[in-house]
Amino acid sequence: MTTARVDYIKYAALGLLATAATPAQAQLGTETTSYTLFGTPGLILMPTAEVAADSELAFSYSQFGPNANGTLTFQILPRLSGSFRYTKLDNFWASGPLRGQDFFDRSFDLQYRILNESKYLPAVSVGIRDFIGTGIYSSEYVVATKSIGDKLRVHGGLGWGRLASHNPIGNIGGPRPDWDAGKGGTLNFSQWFRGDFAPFAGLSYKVNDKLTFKAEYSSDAFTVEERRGTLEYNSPFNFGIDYEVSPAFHLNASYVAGSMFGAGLTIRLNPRKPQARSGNEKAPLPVKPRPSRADSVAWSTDWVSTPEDHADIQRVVSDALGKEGIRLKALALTATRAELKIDNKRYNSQPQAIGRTARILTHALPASVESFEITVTQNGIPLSTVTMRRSDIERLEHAPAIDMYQRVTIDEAAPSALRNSDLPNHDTRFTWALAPYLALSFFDPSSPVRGDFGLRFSAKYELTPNIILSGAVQKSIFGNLDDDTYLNTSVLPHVRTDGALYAQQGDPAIEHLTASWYERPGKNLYSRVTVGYLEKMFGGVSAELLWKPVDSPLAIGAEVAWVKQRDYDQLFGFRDYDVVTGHVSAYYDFGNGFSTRVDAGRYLAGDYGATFSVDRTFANGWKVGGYFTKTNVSAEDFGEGSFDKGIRISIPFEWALGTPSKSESSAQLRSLERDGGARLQVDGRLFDWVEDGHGDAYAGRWGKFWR
Amino acid sequence: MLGFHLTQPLRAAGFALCAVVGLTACGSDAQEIELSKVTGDFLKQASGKLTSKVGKGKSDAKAATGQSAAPADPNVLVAKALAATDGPIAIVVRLDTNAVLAMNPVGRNGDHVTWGSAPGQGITYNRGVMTNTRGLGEDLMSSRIDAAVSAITSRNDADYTRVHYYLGDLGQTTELRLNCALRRSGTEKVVVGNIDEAAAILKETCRKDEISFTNIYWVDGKGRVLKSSQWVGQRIGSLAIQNLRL
Repeated sequence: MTTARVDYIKYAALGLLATAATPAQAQLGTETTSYTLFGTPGLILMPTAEVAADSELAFSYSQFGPNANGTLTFQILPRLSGSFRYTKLDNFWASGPLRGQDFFDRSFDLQYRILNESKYLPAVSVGIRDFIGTGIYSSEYVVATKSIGDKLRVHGGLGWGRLASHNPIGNIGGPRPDWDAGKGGTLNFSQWFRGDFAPFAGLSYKVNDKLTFKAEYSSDAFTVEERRGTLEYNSPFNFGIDYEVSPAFHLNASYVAGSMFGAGLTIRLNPRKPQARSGNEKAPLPVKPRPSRADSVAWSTDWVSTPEDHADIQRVVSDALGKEGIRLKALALTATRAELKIDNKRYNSQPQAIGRTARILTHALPASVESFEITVTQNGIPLSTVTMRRSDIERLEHAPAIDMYQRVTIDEAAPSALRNSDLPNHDTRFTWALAPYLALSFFDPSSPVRGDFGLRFSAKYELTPNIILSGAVQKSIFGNLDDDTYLNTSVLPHVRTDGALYAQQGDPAIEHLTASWYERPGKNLYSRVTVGYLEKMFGGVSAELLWKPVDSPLAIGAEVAWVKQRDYDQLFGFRDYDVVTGHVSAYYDFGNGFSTRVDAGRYLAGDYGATFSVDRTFANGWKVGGYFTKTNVSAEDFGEGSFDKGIRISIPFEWALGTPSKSESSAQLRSLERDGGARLQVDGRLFDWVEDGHGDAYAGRWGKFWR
Repeated sequence: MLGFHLTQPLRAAGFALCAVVGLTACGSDAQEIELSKVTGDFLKQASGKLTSKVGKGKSDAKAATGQSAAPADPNVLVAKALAATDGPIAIVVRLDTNAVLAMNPVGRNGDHVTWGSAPGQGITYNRGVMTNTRGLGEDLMSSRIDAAVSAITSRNDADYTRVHYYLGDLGQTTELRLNCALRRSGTEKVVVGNIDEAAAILKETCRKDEISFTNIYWVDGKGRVLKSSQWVGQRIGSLAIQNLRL
């Protein structure tokens, strides 16, 4: 049953302890908390060489004149930040079929700190704006920032492209080369740092912790907007103030181009700065040490042959665990050993669930039971087994958690699914929920935000612990997802672009109705078969196999599905389109806070290609990442954006609330969802939950074992 | 055609709306309804704060649960606490906020005794010296303080190292190693609740870089800590611990 002991985990935990001993992480200096109207760290419109704190995630919205920006900026590494922006320009189209309409655009920026500020030298950063979109903001810059005292900073730089539209002073390589944005989504590499360049400069003055004044000389002359008559440009000087309402919330106001007032707000979140004090949950049950061995009654093993005693113990353990949000799935006892299988429904940190289980066992089990084997399960599938000695629990209850870590073993669990006959109680097999939902859709070409609000009824029944029936019905109460009149011109099978039709006709809708079967086909192997109405737009059958050793940073998976497109009314019928889709996936955890994943295969529209993604992950469960999908669909056929790409963010509730929770709020922000590179959505994909019960889930969070 | 698309749609906002129209989620699937419950609680709290700012607030209700922001008459509190149980009992005050907890022993493991409060906080002492806390938020997770314990309970001047362990913002264990000096500074009779004993006053001063604190212990001739002021950590500050009955 046992496999290689998970030694690397120990090193990881020790490593964490070692790094933690030096409290401050490497600081680059010249940080700022103040963002531009474009949602990047900096002045008003102009960039600076400042950086945000490492791993800061900033959501901002701002408006000036006809220009509105919604931006997400992430400090990917201490030196590197990336931004994704959605822009609306009022009345942009002066002629043509869109005349009088607004212009909506998406853009990506990157900024990199080359040189940190020193006594005499300034900090220097280099950046590119809108390097992958349709190019309205395309520009590059090099900028320096020097602090004078604690409060004043002076900034100056050179800009190319749009940032050279006011008063250029020279050029590199003649005129800036033309670049055909086409459908967007391609790199404008040939333009970078080419053509005219112009200087820009500015000052920022931090009056106190809350208030910052800014002034700048801008090299952006708003040439395009002025030509179209949507705004008036009178001056290169801009002025602004930034006010910190709370550390997470900033407001700013400005006067731009001598003609417009601007205002904005920024919400700053950081995985390293939890919104709530952690550890507000109730104290755990204290460990109950056993009486001395001289107490022969307490240490008797007569109970082993008494079935009633086994049943009593099982009931006591099951009830006590239930109060901790942990379900007892199986309990087998011998005179000296207890083997438990649990399903942790509450604790974001598996060690905390294991620790609380062990504490309960010290109260419930007869004194002769010395060895605890606690197996974490999910969907009826055992994931990992933590083995410990009861005498260690008693001895180390008040010692640092690392001491206990050195005494336990963490192994792969025996590869057999739970059976009904294992279950101590059957009444937890049916669960249901009636809850409101809100579905939001942002930034389609004709409206920045659409939403749908309604009620959702969901229910689950576990036929056996590893065969689960699940369904959900939803009814919209109000919303405007369905009034999208955008003409669907996609030349590919409309696998994703008929969303408005689904919203119009699917009310009420069967969101999903499935039967899933999870299994352990062998050592290091996990499998899933799901049949039914898998998601809003497709039904059919999907099968998946995952190879993932409990202590390996590498995992490999394969998935294949035959699916048929569902009717727009989202009841039981199907449309004509069906497809075989599937992927081979490789997952790799670099161990330095970054993980990557590659999925190659056939997508819903029958196109072939691969999806590449990288996530920055944090021990407390935060994930911020990006992905892109390239398939054999041409940019022309794909439509706006050329290929599918996006950003995903996952924020654990525990971080926001300070009390334990396994739930998280996750969002995937796509640049533009089209039919190419579209994947089937199916619940219960193996990697997502198998990973939760494997090595890394213990390593970084072992400190919570005794919490 | 739909641009930004949320896979697990921003349900938080949905539940905010839900609470506004007076709906609440219900069901037995904890994870499905958690967000809605949480949002509902949050809104209740927020509106509660507002009303307490506007009106008088609900401090009475809080006192009834064993935790109050501002203790009224200390004698009343002591009498109440003593009446609540026949066994040992102590009141613990967080000095930064004046929040009060009544605690009694709930577990013993060798020299370590864990005390608990009705709302769910826990403090463990090694012969009267705090070794860890739970449920306060930003707890002292564990410590290595054997030298401190033996010096304090034997009422001797001493110099030693304390090691405290906390959880960092990413959930990782962090270590704080402090240099401490313990000095006797007079004697005092401790009279409170059912206690009436002569005690030596010991001051323990600890420092690590810019972090420093002073703990004070009133220790009787049997080495029992009758009352004390002990530091938990940077974010919680110090607790005043007053035994009412040993």
